[in-house]
Amino acid sequence: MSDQEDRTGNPFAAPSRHADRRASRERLLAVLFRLLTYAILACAMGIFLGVVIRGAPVIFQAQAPFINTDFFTQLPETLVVYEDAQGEVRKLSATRFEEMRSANPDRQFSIVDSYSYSGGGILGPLVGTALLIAICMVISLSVGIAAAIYLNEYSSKGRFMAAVRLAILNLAGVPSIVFGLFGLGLFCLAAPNLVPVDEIADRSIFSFAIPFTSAAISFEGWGACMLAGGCTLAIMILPVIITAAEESLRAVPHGFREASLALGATRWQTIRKSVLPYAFPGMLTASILGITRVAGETAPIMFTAAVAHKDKLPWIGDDPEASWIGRLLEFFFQSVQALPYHIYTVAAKIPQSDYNRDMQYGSVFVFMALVFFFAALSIWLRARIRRKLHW
Amino acid sequence: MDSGKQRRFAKRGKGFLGLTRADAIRYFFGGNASLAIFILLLICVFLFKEAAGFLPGHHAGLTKWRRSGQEFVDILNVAVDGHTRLGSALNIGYFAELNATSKAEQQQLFSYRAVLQRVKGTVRGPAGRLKKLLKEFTEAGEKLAEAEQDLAGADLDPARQASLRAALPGYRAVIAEVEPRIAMLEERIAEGVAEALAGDEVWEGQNLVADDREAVAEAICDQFEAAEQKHPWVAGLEDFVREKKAERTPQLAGFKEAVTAFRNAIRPVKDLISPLREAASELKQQAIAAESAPKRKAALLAGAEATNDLAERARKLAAAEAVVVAAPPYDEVAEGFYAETAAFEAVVADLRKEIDAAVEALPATGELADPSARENLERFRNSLADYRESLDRAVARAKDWRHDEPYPQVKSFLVFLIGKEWITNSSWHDFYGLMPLFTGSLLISMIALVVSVPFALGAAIYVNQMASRREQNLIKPAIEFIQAIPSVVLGFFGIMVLGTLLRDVSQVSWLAWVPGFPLQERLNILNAGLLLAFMAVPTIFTLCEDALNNVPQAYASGALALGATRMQTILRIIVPTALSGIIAAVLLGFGRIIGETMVVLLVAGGKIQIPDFSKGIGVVGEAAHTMTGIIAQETGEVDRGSLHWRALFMVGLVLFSISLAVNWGAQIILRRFQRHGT
Amino acid sequence: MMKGAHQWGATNHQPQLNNKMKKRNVLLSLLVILALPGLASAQYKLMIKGSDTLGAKLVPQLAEAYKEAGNDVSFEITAEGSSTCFTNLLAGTSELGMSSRGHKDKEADKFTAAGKELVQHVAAWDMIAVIVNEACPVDDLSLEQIEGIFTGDITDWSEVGGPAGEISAYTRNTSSGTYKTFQELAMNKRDYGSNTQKMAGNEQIAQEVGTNPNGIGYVGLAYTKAEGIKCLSVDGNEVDPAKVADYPVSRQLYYYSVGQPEGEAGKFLAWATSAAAAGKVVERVGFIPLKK
Repeated sequence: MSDQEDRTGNPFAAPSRHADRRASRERLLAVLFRLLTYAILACAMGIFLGVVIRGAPVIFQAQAPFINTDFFTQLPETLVVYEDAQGEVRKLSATRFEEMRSANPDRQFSIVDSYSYSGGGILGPLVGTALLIAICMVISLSVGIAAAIYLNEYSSKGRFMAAVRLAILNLAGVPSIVFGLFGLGLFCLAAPNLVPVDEIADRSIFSFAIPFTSAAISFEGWGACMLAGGCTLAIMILPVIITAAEESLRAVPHGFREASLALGATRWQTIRKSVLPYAFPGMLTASILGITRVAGETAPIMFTAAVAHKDKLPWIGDDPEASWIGRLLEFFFQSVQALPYHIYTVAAKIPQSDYNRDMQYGSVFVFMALVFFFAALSIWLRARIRRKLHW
Repeated sequence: MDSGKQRRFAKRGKGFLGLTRADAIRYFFGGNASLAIFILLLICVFLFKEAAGFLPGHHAGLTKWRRSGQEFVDILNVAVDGHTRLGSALNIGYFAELNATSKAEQQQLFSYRAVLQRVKGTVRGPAGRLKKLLKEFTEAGEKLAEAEQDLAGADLDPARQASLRAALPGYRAVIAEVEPRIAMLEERIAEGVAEALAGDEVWEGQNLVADDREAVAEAICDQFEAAEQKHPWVAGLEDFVREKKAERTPQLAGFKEAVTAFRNAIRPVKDLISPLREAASELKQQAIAAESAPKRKAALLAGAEATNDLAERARKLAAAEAVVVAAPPYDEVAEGFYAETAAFEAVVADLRKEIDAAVEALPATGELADPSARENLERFRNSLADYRESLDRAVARAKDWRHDEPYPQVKSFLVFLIGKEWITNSSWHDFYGLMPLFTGSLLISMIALVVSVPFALGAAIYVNQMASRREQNLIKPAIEFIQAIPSVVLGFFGIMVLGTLLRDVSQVSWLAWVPGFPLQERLNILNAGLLLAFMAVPTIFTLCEDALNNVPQAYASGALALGATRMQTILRIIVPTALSGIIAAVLLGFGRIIGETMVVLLVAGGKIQIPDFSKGIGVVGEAAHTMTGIIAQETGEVDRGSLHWRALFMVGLVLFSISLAVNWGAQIILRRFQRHGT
Repeated sequence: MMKGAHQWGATNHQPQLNNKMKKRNVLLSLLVILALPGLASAQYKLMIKGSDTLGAKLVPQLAEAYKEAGNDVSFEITAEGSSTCFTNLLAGTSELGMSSRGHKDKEADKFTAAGKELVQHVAAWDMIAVIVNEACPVDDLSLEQIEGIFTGDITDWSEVGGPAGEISAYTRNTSSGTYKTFQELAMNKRDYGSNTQKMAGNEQIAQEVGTNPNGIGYVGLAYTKAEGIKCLSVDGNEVDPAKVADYPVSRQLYYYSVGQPEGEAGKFLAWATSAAAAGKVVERVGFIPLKK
């Protein structure tokens, strides 16, 4: 600060014209900062309203049950635009159209146009996303919380710890598409897989037959499948989970641990009985925060799990006679539709017209609503924990 | 807690492999923690594994490019490429001059078509149906007429006569049914057209005076009523334009001649290159075939061995026999190239003369009426010297070129790192140069930063220093919500709304002074940059706010006590103290946006070219491609293990390194900040 | 892709394997359980991968029509460009491939080298239409002009008879079959200019051209109905399905299989290439069926 300004800033100095000008300049600056802040919120509001205005009518309707159930109970399919006998142009998804056509065999319908992926509902992508999130959260939470426990409860300062922390920090900054490439390289193309001996793929890095069977373990990857996508997402989200879990562990007062240890409990007993229960709400918040991040990611699942078109739900097997374990494997080793990838498809790979706008905005609306729900949940939980837990 | 204390208090469990239970638990948790390092290493390993063959493969490709003489052809081709660009500038200039006298009329016609198109868009549904009905109507009418004519004709066999008679009512019914619908649709279309023309939407971006607008509207209405006929206003304009052009053509004959002379001057060079091009291409194909030949031969022989069908075996053996394993005749073909060097020099010398003659014949810039023509001619004259120099260089390089000179390894790596061309799936040669993608990524990120930093920093200062509690409780969660918006949704928004919005805004006439406006593309750098800015705001805001928060209260109190105003305290004390934290926040924000994929994939426009910085800030109107975008777009589609595939993993590796570097930088800055803070 | 599911789910198509595995000893009964044979009634999953031109519209709708015709088959269709047709067939991760171009020698070689045979089946005819914005006054371009525009030699509309304005050329992404076919048919095999914009799919090209008065691009015939675009005639030949043979940029679209396809894949293929109902679907999505 220059001397001159110090002097003019002196409250005991007589008010001068200079100070007046400065005061108004300062008010202007304050207004500017405020404007900048609210401009951000206005942009967000604009996007949000844009989606709601066009998307909500797709989901909600005036008559009972007030919700477009088809949109949540059908798989994406072709949308048929047809002209009925009155010359009115209507649209229906392919199955509904066939139902109607077979119900009215004598009526004439001429098909005007058809749009892929624009009819039906988004059940497939919803289910796929839910499964990907579930797999991802199971893996990342178990690993992440264990890692956080080590970092906060066991570790002592040292080279190794510094390296771990550095790795976590760096991992957090890696672009999601790089995780996608990594998942493709590791899970889809190199992870160990159980295959019949005579079907080992050429790309297999290393394989050996299991004695007395016709099966072999081959490091040829799982292909693009739910498990590969879930694992990729889990690795991506790991630093977020570790950091957040560690934070909630750190929030548990030291006295809890000391008291428990003083009573003769082992370290593990202490952690299990007097630390984890109190850190649990925080971890829950962390995991929900994780879900928000994971649900929105498209790049990591593009090559590792997602497909644009799939005409059945994941749990419907190809083979009704397969054993439960065969089914289980089939379940995890299949590719899935996912909501973000579905939005990518309807945004970039189908023509834009009034007929498929519903599918586009409907999907985006549901997706935003889901993500916001989880975001709100985590914010609310965090506020609640802060209010409730005082040590 | 130090581990000694922990040991003392721990109850010793049963040993397993010399581990106590407590130790086992500890190692289990420790193992999970070290997973972070392990994963980071794995990412490196697998990116390297897939990218591994790239450098040798790339080098081998470039070597083949050189040995087969493709490099030689590309050297000669510099002469053609530069000439084409110059010729194009001349040509554009000529046409601009030709159109100069009827520019306004052409603009009117263009506006007419543009508005017509928009109006058509609004009634597309009914118009499509009408077309269909009309088709039905005419078909039925034709059939009816045909049938009636047949019936009128004599001696028809009774069966046919009966069937024709039976069909008649059907046709009539169709006509009767379709006719009112046609009328109804026509009416509806007319209404729709009138409505659209009355609104302002279809007129956006068209600078028409009221009279013209009326004429256009009338012409459009007529167009819908009688599609075949041109409205007299339109026909009149078209005639006028044609007339003016015809009038102008003889006046500009000299210009035209010079342009043609200039453009034709390159013919001999092209004729010289074209056989060389084919020879090089063929040689390269041979080289590629020869590489896989032994493998193919072995496969065919193995196949022949395996089959029991004698004919099949004979076929396979013959095919195996036919596989050529010999090395391609590099030296022989190269001799042919060397022999052409002198010829090239001679043609280039001729080219120079002809160019000089043509340039002499060109009209002086001042003589031209049209500003665009002047501009293009000016551009032509300015680049001429460069082109002449490039000719010299091409001749010199052609003379120096040796097909058997080994291609330097370092150079092949540099071709990847700073190469200006990313051309894949080419019929000639695939080039993998990172620069277009890198500059695209960088430019978009820079725009995003420039836009987002003021907002995020301003908001952070406001929320941290000035806002009331209630405002804080509103704004902070709101910004967290912004962070939760998935990138694919923003990309979707960019395609559906922002792109069109930006273009429409840019076409408003009083904004024409803005560099780069009016925008031609919907998907461009600006669009992507703005969306990414929006994405970066929460990251930068949160970190900045943290940094401001970490400034010790005493600093502010001290400043205030010394009589500084609040704004002075904020801007002179708090912000400078938190500066390193703010810089780190910006860096981390940069790391986040340069790695963002979906927005740039959907919105950046996919043009694999280094943005044309000569346009100044106007460059933001161009389309671009990015590193993340190219990975997302191409990885799913290329052959696994091919050079292209490996190149994409190399790009991934570059991205990975950038993100590590950014993180590392941010951490160093933060650490300094922490020292400062305590 | 989908290796696991293919092995353990659809086991009924690997009878030898099943028998072999059933005989194995108790220790690894787990593996035996995995391989219990299914009944013939099991729903078959047909995996079809490859070209976006075929896979975005035609094949999904063929699949729907095929199922409606009473065939109990489920489909998994992935459309990511013609190159993926061959890679997936070779890896055994799809049964049928879709390609909008003929195979390259290099690709066939790979199959030969793996002891497999690549079999081509013509799916339909297609015309690659050169499209411009409706507002564009140009109606016809010669092949030479098209080559000039897409190689970047011609950059302004005034050079080809339009009003002054910089040309925005939109092309497909590089692994697309349309990209390659167009390069061969219309561009003298020269490289695309670096000023061209690579779009993810036909639809995106149609969309951008439809909203950009200075845009030009190319799309399959099926996509020419999009809003705001018009097709140019090439060297005076109009885009007319009836004159597919005269149009210089028309091509055949293919299905590919490893060996002659049998079973469900064969049945579907036979239906898709010859049945009248399939022909109707082909026409509806905008291609030209083989038999008319």
